[in-house]
Amino acid sequence: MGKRRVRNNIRSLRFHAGEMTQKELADKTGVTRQTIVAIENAKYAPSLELAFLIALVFERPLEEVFSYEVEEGAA
Amino acid sequence: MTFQEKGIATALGVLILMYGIYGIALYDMFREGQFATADAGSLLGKSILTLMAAVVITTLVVRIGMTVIEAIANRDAHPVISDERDRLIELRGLRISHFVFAGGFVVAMIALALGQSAFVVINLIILSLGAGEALGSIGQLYLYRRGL
Repeated sequence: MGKRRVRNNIRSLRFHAGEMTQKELADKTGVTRQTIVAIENAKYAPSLELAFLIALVFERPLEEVFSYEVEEGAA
Repeated sequence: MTFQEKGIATALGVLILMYGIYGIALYDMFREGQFATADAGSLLGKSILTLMAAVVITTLVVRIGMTVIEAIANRDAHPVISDERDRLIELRGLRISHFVFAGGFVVAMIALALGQSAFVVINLIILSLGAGEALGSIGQLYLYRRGL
């Protein structure tokens, strides 16, 4: 089984939510903008609570925002 | 570089500087034979306490200065917060620090068992403390760049 990583489509959701900025999303979820950047770039897997908060901001179910996929290039 | 990263890098710089000054001062005192007297233990203890106080006070002053400069430079910015990612990276750094210090402590005890002087053993412990802090900070900076 290949190594999996938490991926997301937050960037796309932000765009469709009135071009919300990373800073605005960070403020709504109580984290720093750098954390949102790290999440979008799949460099950080958010906690369950933060993942739910982000999904709540976009009014989407969790599985529409995040996915657990095999890493690109992994066997 | 984020504010947290700047803070970590600054603390690392202060640590290296203070340990460097401590090392030079210790070497000078050793060459002058000050550790060959009956008061060697007391002198070493005072030197180490001075080092610790210097590190804490200098880091505090520099951090306060940085915070003030950051506040003046970014007047309209929201206050900097420490979120779950910052706390996780801090914990990982702390784990690295603890492992390095523990390893250094074992080395110091081996030195003691092999008959090394208290001067050597105590300085090995102090060195491992500093190395632990430094490597913990480097680890945190690496995690901020590479991601978790």
